[in-house]
Amino acid sequence: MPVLDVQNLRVRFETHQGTVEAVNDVSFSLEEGETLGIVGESGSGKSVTSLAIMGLVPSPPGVVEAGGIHFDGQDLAQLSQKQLRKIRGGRMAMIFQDPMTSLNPLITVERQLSEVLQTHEGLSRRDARVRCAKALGDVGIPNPEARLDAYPHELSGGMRQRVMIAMGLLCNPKVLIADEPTTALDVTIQAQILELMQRLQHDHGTAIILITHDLGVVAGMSDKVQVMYAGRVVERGATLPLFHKPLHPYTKGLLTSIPTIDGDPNETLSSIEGQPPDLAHLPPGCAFEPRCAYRVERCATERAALEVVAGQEGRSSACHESDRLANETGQELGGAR
Amino acid sequence: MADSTHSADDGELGAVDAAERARLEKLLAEAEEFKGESLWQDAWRRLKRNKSAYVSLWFLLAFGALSFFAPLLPLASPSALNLRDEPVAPAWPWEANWHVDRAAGDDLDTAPPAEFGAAATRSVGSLLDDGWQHRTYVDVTLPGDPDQVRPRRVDGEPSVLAWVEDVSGRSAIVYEKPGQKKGTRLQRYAIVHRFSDQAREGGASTGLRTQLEEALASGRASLPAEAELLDVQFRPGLWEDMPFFDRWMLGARAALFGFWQVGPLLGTDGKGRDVLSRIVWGSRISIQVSVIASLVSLLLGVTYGATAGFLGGRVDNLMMRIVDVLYAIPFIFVVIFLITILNAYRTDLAEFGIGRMTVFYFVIGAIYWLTMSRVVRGQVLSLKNQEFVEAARVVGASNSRIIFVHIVPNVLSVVIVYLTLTIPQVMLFEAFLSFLGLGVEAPRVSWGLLAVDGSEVISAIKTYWWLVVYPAAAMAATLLALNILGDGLRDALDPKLRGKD
Amino acid sequence: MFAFLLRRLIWGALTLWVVVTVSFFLMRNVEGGPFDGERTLDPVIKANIERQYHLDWPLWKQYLQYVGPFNLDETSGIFSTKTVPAPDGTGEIENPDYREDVFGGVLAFDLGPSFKLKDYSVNDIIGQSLPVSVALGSIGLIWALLLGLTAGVASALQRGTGWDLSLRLVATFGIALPNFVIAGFLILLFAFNIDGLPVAGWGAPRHILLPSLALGAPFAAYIARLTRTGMLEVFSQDHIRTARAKGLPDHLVLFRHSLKGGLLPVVSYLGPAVAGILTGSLVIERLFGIPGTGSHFVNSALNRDYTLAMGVTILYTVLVYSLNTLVDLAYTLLDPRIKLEES
Repeated sequence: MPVLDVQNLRVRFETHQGTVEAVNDVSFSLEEGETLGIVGESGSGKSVTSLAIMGLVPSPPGVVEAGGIHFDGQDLAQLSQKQLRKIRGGRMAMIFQDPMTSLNPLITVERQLSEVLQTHEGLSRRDARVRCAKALGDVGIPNPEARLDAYPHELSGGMRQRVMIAMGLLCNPKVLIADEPTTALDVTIQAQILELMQRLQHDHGTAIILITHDLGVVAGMSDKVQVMYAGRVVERGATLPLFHKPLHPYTKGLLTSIPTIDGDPNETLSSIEGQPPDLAHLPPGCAFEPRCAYRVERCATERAALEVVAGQEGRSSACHESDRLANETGQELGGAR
Repeated sequence: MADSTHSADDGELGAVDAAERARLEKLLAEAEEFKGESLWQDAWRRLKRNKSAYVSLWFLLAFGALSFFAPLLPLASPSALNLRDEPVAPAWPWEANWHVDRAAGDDLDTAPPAEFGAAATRSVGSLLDDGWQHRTYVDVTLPGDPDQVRPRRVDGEPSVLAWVEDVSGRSAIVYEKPGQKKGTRLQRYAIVHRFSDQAREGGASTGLRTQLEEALASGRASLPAEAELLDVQFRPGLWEDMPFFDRWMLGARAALFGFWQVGPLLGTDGKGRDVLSRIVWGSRISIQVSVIASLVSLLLGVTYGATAGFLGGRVDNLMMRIVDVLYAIPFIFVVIFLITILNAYRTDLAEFGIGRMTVFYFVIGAIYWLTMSRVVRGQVLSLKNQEFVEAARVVGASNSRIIFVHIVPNVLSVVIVYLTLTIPQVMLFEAFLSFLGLGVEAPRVSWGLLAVDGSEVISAIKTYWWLVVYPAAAMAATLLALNILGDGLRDALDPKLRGKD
Repeated sequence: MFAFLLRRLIWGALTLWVVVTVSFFLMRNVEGGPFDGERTLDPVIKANIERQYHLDWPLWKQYLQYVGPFNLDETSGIFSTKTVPAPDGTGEIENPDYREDVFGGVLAFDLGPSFKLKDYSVNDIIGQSLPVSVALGSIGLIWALLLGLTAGVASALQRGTGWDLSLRLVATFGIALPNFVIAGFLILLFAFNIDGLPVAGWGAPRHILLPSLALGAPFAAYIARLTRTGMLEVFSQDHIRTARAKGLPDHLVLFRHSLKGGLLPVVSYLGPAVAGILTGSLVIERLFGIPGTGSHFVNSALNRDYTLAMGVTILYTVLVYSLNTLVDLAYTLLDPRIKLEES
């Protein structure tokens, strides 16, 4: 029984320039303790998906529709904001990209942490404080007691993100959504944070949705990967097989654009031609078609549905030519063309 | 389009083959599709989108035009006094051409008498143009008690300007003395001949008048023996110092409309002055003062701030410290204090040609330059350190190019916004000073003085609401428009919002 | 903190010195001004002036006398001697005024005699009128904060709705109109249409209501605008999204997370607001016939009562400066990111 099951999620924004289809018919499920990586460019809809699950999409201009968002026995799509609030921060938590702006600069760390416990578990301030100190210790912050009374700007970037993680895990959520948790950090700190998240996941059994544009992060942490483009899922599968043999031209393009350390320095870097589509004016066919190296006639008019690819277990792809891709020889990760 | 030959200047890159070239050209074509927008185009587009700011802009332009062309409009005089009347309520034009064209035989006898004798002097009326056959009112200064002088019109006399009478029945006529034109087209002098009691007695006022008129018409060679020349007073009226363009417009108006003027559409005040006219003419002064004073503050502020910002370091520190000290002084008070003292120095300054208004401009400009300098300095400082300046340097741009192409446009936008927001503040301040009696003086009219008139008549007895409502509405509309436009400009020019929308 | 206050004190003293010195020299040289020998003055005032200012002394001595804190008069000041030569030249007699007034001048809080109102020193006038003005100004400020904050927060919360638009419209009017026009409207409104609120005079609490409202109205408008912008800005910030993501109830998000940040610009504004209220009081006191320091100041400007004008200017400079310092201190208390040196 998956801990989170999203069915046919649609999010659109009504702006004066037209309707922007940010998320289009996205479905996926997440098992307990599993890590799902959602990968895509800016504008692919990956963040909006998670905001929609949490009920955080601002409601004029945004409109959220779903077949169902089943979490822990409830359908989140049917709940009121009041009911959602009970779940948010408690059983399902989210951490964000930039810990400097995501933490309130005028309030102490301790306050921002204890209020979660006060709201969700009804703890007193004093008890909450003790729990918070422990939480800070768990995320690897030295001298946690002292840090509690600090303000966010007094901490380093890495420590702030640890605080965010601690905040997310305080109530032992079943699902933790991490939206670009390492993007704003230095590379060395990134590694530490990812390691921390893995350890905590192991300790608490939390399922994680890891949203990022960084393929390296995904490769290191996720069990399953879901690639999104222009608001839709274009490919999904277990991490290693997907990296080894992508079944959608976009995924393939992403992977081949990563330069390798042992590649030929004189080779031109490869990239995906063209620009991402305008989400207010999506074409009738496949949104990736103008940039696709594998396109055929019908791609411009007929969009492929996300289907399991014949012969490839547990892999789905939304491409008419997925067979062609399946039959190509497997490539080394990130090899240049 | 693509040429498949190698070209000699491909050099170290090696041969560029056709496919590569095609690819590059395609990229170039794509790039050109994205038309870049300059800061100003972007800003203008966003401003247009902001409906209220756009409307305000046009309103202000229209109003500015109205104000500029005021002498052309057939308005009543803004400073002519008609002291016998109470404030007249707003009336429709065709009922109320009462300023004009009273019959010639009309009434020297039934009008209440005037009185003069004390040492005070005061303006009595206003003259429009000497090219006319008829006069309405006259700007003269008569020695006498200000409140009792009642001017009258004398039609058809090219040179008699006014006829006044005092309570004891002594009359005086005011006329232009020939040969004393100072090279201008407007009559500006008052020569007053007073006629003694005897001449008046015997019920012969009409006879006396005829006598005088004949004497005058005959070339003024001789006047009745009883005529006594009083002091010649010359005090600038509204029409004095009028620049050439305005006088030309007055002439054009006379040619176009003749004597006709609109009636009291918005009513008059207690001294018979038309409210509409005062609002329009007052706007000239208010706008003039606020624009010039703001420009003064702009000049001072930009120079000071840009220098401080550009030089940086200790010089900057010191300069800003000075600004801080000056900022701490509640300037309004110092300004009032200064104006008070400078009033006492007035004659000295007048020798240098520095009139009251000039002092005014500089004193007001002196308050607002501080904030402007801070703003400019801040902007220059932040710009100096921006990456694009570094980038320009790296590419090899010279200092002056950096200043003019990169820094100045960015500073300009801040300056424009601030200027648009300062002008209403200055207007308010001018109104404030005039309200307190320290600003513009009669016969000039500014909105501050209008507010004074309005507040003076607020009494429990009668509500002359038009004296409060109309000037307030005009002031409010203009200030509102300026504020909205300033805010709109700020939003439009804010680079953070640029392109994000 | 101590260093901050010390620095502020030094700069304040410097500012004051500039004001005092400039006024001194301006007043001295004005023709027809207070110290112009040819001017005919009321004999009582003339005597006062001569006693106070010693016009026969060298300029530097006059300046020191004026600034204080010591009275340099030979007979009664700090340098006076116990005995003075007898008027008839026969030896020495005791000095009855020995060290009567050791202190004098601005630094000793002696602002001199009034130029127009005989028998009154500037200190007397200020002493009588300042409490009135302070009362009026404080209540005006309270109105401004009360109305402004409520309107601003309401506007931000109800963004885009009719309430928001109408509040913003009212606020824009409040900013655009000069306060004497607003006062005029209020007077018209209350004097003629609604009974119960007097429009002139002073003495009872109800006398304060209307004038303080007229005084505070433009500032309420500006504060409403600042608050609205500040709150909207805070609402769009990431940490509010985090707060919501934590499942916090709306009232916590508003009061604990948003208000502090949103109100910071208002705290900054308090400094200029107080200065503005002082300025506005000049007009309001005049219009409503309130015997405060402001109306005295205006009269002094119109009547050329230079000492009073200068005394009030000095007073207000000190007041505004100290209040600004307080506001800066308060700001640092509210925002932990700001350190005192930077303010």
